[in-house]
Amino acid sequence: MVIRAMRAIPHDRLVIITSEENTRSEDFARILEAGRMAGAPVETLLVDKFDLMSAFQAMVEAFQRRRTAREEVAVNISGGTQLLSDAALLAAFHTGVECYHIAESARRLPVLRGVEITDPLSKGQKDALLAFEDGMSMQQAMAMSKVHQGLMEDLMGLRKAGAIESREEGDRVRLYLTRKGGRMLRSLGRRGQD
Amino acid sequence: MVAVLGTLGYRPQSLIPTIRSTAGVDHVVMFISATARSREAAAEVGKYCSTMEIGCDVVELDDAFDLMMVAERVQDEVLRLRRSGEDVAVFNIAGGTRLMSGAALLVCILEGLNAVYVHDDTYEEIALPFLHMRYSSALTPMERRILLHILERGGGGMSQMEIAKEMGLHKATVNHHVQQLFRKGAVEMLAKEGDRRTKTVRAQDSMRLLLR
Repeated sequence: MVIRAMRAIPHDRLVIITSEENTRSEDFARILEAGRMAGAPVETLLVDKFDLMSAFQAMVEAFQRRRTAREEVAVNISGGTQLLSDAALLAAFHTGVECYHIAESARRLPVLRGVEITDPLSKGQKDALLAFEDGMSMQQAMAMSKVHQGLMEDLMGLRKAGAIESREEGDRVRLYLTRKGGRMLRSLGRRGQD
Repeated sequence: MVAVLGTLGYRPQSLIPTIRSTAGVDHVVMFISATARSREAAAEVGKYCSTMEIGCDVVELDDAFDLMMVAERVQDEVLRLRRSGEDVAVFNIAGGTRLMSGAALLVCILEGLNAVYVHDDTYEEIALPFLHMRYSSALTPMERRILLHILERGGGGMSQMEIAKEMGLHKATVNHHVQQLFRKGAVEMLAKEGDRRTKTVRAQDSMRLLLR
């Protein structure tokens, strides 16, 4: 699959995403040899093939690093285990990098280039997400909404999107970031809970 | 109605924990490949659903190794459930072939569905990080119209002039939106055969998933 992808997708650098154990396989040696013969630098990104979220996170970071270095990224999800393939697809959508599935021919999947996972959020929703630290009481939110118009609507939009949740604490209601919200917050450049 | 969806391979255990952990579920839809072992696994899940008085449907996929075909079938089912007012609580993408799982994941991202993966050994459910928003909202209504027009014309080889003429739009308007679609990678622009000065606009068939 990797060899087919190398033929189908023009590239000047190849990064093989795999597990450490797989680097001892004959297939891996063959890919290295093909890369060497093609004259393009070949690198390896080692991930945990049994841990979807850690593999996904490693790929997101790798894609973002490349893009920061102004490199274009295209990812082929056809090889590896189901878990690695799913993690790569998820990471491609999360970061907005071109994504291919290779069977008889190369098929580009509908990942929109440069569209990141937080892009559907409005500016107000992004600002509201950034305002979160350790939760927010409804009273605080309502007080803030007097200054920031539309804040309550933005918060409700975030709740509908699954980024925040409300919890009753005694006779009060507090809003908290969900795991998803934490990831969104990290994508916006701030550390969130996980 | 609250529905749980799942791709299923040979192991009923990969789907049953999700049905058990979802509050108020009253409908389960399983996507399976056309094999005897998958049908056996689906029957096991069906037995569990019947005991719990939960409705259960099985969607058998003709070709579990064709990513786009499976994605379209899964998306059809999700849209059908939504139209009939059902709330898709969660989609378990752990079972089935890797292409079934990949196709289900693709649809969950595009449709903004809650999705879970189940660990192979521990059966622990891992929630995947999507927003409940349709991914296609990243395209403007006009970008969607133009992309749909290109796809309806077979996906390839149209000049911007042809698009403008057929859609009754100004050429500058089409040019602006085609450039945006190109920037987002939704279309390709290739030199026309025999006339390298003219670029034709093409869209891959998979972009259809953004427009349904």
